[in-house]
Amino acid sequence: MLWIAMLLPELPLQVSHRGLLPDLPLVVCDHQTQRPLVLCANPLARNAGIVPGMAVAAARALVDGLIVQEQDPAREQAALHALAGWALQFTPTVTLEPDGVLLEVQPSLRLFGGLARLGKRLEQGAAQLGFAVSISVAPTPLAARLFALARLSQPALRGSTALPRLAAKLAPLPLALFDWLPETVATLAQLGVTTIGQLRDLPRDGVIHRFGRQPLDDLDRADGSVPDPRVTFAPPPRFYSRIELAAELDRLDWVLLPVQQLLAELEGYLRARQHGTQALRLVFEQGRDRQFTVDIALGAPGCRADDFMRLVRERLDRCVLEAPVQAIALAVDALQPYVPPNRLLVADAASQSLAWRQLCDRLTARLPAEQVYRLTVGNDHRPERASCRHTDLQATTRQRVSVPVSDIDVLSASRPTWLLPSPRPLPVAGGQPQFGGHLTLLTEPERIEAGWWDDDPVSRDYYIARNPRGQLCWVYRDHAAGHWYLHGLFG
Amino acid sequence: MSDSVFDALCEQLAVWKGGHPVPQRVPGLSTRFTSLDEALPAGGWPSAITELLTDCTGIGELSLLLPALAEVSRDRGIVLVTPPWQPYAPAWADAGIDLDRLLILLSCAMRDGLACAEMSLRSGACGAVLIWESGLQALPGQTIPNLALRRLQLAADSGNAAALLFRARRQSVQPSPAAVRIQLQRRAAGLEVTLFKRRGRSGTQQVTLDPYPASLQTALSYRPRQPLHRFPWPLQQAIRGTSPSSLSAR
Repeated sequence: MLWIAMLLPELPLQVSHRGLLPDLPLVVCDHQTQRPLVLCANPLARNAGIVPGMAVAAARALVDGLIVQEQDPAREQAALHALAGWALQFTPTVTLEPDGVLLEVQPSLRLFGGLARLGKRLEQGAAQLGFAVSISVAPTPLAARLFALARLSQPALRGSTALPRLAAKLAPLPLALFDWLPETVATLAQLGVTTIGQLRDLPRDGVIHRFGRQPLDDLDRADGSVPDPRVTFAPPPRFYSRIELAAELDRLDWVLLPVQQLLAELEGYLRARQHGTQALRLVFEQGRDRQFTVDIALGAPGCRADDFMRLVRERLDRCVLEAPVQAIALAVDALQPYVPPNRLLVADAASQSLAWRQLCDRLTARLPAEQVYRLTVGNDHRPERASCRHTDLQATTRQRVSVPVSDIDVLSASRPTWLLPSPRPLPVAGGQPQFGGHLTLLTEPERIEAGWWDDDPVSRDYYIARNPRGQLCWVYRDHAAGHWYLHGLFG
Repeated sequence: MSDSVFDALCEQLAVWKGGHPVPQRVPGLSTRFTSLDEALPAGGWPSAITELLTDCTGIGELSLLLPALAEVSRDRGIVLVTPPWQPYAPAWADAGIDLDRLLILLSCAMRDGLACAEMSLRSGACGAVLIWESGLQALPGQTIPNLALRRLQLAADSGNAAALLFRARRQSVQPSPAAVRIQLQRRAAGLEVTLFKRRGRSGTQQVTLDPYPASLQTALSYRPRQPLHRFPWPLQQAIRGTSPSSLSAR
């Protein structure tokens, strides 16, 4: 067993900091109404002289334009859940701690290329999510957490991977890392016992009699002499994540950073479940009862954050922000099984079709709906129904165009490349139709009579005609009243 | 300088002798009309913008492109940006174009249409993009700015695709960065193709050809064995000589 601990130092500050532009001072305060005190401050605020514990009013006096956020345990819990859901792509055993997550990675080491590479990936991935984590590794979960906590003050400290050497490595760590009562730690300090090794050297019965079972229990669990079972985290069935922005954003390109963090969370969640999604919904909340929604649809299930980001950028390009954005939420309801495409060295048909599908997705994201379409040949003699428009751009079945009978090659060749949306009535002069001049009929009539079985019967004689301008037109004479119409052009 | 050194420099495109055609590095998309292929600098439609200036649709300007588009459609896609009329699927399918890889963009603002054209050209999944300036105009007389044309040309070059732009005839007096500019006009002898700007060649060349495929010529010259005006039967029946089906709507 090998556990990796990812701890988020100053969790309230990190949660408020997500999506914030880096050059604004921010503090998090507690809930007192009378005299709220500062809990944590970001580096910019600390440089200005704000220290945790001072009154918020004093902090506001020190720094102009200070952003003050109240600590919100619900948001912190949601952030930890998001991190845990993202971490599930590396291992199925993820445990929640009050200020971080623990991952059991022994079975995953080979897949992810070793401990060092996995640790680096975890750190970079958490940074993409907007979190700064402290990572450490140990054979037991509690020891991993202790090493990660100790690393905050001693960055050079390294965890341990072997169980026999664990006790020796734990020995120099201070007792303050445990979450015992402060009186216990103070009394032990008065006795001269400040490190784990010193506590272990004391007689066990005496310690239990004086301080209760908890200190020795914790030591035993950290050593590995007593088992430490943990409850694993189960991901929610639907993905929903929300970032509340500490400062309002009134430009759409600034909004891209929190959107990127949300999409990185989504990618981790989808990879953990080995599913993809074809529909995303981004909600930009602009205040009470005011929001605008962006729906992104993909032609095929996808799970990569880069692909989603490209489509979101295209869609946001055409949006205009009417009010500043206060919070952004991402929701995904339906998941489909995801098969990653095979990447080959040489571009070939498979990669071409992938590139074509991505282009279709981007075009539908860029333009309003119903403005991009593809064609299929309809099984009908009526020309307006022989050409069908589809707005779903991915052809699900390969269409077999019916092979014309060899005798009627003449007919299939005499179809125009352009069709008018609705036939245009032509004026008649001297018994002949006129379109840009006098039309000369070049062929014998082709009779199309169809549609008597539904409400749209047509009964027409089609001719190919040429006018003095040189245009080759497809005109017809309707049997009902003998009127002439223009229906197509041979481009 | 000796002749061999000078010729070597010319071959490496370091020196251009005016009047001699510049050899193009990338061969163009063959048009399947030999006289037109010889007149075009790259031996076909170049991976850049080709402007086709014509005043009316239906004189054969699309049939000029269809053989090349059929070739493109075999492994890459085609995008039509704001065509003047609706493409008629059976005719396009008959010309050899894969309808699964044909996308049509309806009327959109010039900015969106040009952005989509650039996206399609640059992606590499598209072999040809056909743009109709008349469909992008919000007001009559509005033209695509030359800066946008330059961007499209760079996108076409990077994606190795041909951009074919249909404009009105009066644009011929306005300068444009397109690599090839062609004026199309219908004459009695056929379609007159005037190439008045070609990148790497000087002078104007005129080619007259018949753009329509041979099958359409056959259809135009087809005369049934029996004169049809006496018999109200469908054409198919007249060819096959079978008895009529009872499909008369009357």
